[in-house]
Amino acid sequence: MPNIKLRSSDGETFEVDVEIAKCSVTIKTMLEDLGMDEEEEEVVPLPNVNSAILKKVIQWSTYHKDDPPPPEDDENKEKRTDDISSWDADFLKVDQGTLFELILAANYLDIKGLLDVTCKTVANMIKGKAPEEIRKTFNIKNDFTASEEEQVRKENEWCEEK
Amino acid sequence: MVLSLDSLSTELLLKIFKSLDIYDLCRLKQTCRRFNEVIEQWGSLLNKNVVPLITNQVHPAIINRSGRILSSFERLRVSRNWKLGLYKERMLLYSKIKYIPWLQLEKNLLWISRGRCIQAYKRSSKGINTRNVVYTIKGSKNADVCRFVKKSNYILSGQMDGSLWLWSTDDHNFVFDLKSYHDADINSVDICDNIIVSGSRDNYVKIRHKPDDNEAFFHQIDLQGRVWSVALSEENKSLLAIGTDGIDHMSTVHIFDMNRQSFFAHYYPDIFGDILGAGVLDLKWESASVLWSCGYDSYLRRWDLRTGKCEQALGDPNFATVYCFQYDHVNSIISGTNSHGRVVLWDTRQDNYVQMYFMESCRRPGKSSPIYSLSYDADFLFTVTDQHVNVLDFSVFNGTPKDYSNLFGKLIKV
Repeated sequence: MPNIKLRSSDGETFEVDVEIAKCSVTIKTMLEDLGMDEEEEEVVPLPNVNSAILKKVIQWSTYHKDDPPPPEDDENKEKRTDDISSWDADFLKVDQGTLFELILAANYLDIKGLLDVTCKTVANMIKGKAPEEIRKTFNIKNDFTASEEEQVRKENEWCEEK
Repeated sequence: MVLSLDSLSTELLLKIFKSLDIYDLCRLKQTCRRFNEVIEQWGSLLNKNVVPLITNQVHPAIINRSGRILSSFERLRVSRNWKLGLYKERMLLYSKIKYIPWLQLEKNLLWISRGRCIQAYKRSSKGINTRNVVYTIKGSKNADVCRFVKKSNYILSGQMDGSLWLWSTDDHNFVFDLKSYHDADINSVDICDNIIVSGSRDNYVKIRHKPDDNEAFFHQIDLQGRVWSVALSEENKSLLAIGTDGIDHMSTVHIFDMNRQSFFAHYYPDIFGDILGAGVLDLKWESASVLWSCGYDSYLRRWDLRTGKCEQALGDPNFATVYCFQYDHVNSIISGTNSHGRVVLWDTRQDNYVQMYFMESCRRPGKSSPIYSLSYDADFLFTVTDQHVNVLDFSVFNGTPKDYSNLFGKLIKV
């Protein structure tokens, strides 16, 4: 199995199987477009991903390398969030900072499966929570003025009847 | 720097919010300004209903009659109210005399014909301002208006005495009246560019030009049955749809090609048993080749000129005559039925109805009335019954839903 080298933003180099690296559409196109020869000792620079996150991404991609390609988003289908596998759930037991870094990395590297599962994890943290709880969970600053807040609260009162 | 949720780009926020339902979105909107704005602006992209029922505001026809343009999130919220039956009803006008009225909705005005009068009321946040009458138009002295249409700057009206009237709203001016144009009630009229069409109980449809155009252009068609409805196609200017009583002939929907001066097709409902008398009371073009009809057979029917068949039939849950309907050219139809002031909401993507609404004024004993005409935009449904003009306001934030979505059980498609 040919390997390729990926360099993180902080200069650390990771050697990975090409097939695993190709989970990332960004890397895949880079290799194809630039015609990077697998023989050469080429290093792919990833200036937007640090080593801690890149390590996690490689770990995820290695586990999921044999997955079938994720289906295209069907706009008419309700997104489910209760279909996260237990391996992914364990893998994503990380602090919020890391979770959001993973979302950014998955988005930049274009790894749909990882992006989906990280976004769902965040959605699950929002579900069923009252506004104040959401603020607390994500450390969001309430920047409404008192009258604005009253207005928004009134407009959205109906959702509490559920 | 540690990343947080509110440091993500809007694109990524939307990816996360996609998995949330409307209740979660509501709570999220209350947390901070940015989330409030993002959800307000992009709300309908987040829901599976990319094109919400009733509130989609996609087609120019519905935009032209919309009192306001809703934000993405408002579309979701108000559409939900339509489906749940959550609204506030107001009776706008009442008359002691029973009429057969007609109405037409525009962005700023609601046009209503009652008796021999056509009036335009200014729209307001409560439906209409009943004290602000912008136009009052009176035709024949001794005959009521049967049907009128307001298009571009013209109002065309067919009267019970067979006379046809045309006014211009530009300079508020009378253009012409043709006395004894038909031998009986003019049940329907339409106008498109310079073509004027009228259909009457005297079995004839008459086509002519506006007076300032070619005076000589005139054509009449004998339908061998009473004519209930006519509709000119906006997209294919040569096509005219005609609905007849179907008493002596099975065909009730006729397509006339005005360029060739001959019929393009005759359609009749493909149903079991005796279909005579399945008269067509209202017609509307969906596109150049698709037409909707309703009438005595209790169905809303979608006719496709390319296949020459009825491609979809939406049966009234109470098998009642459908007097009128409005369509948004996307997937929402509202039909008005023959009794109890009952109105039915349809989603053309399914065969069962979505919701029903009953006009409060028709609930009292002896007060049952057909819905003679109706129109809607995203927030309001306007209806006219024999004595009342009503509005249902779906933009409300709270109240008790009146849910009749399961009143007659779900029907099996015939």
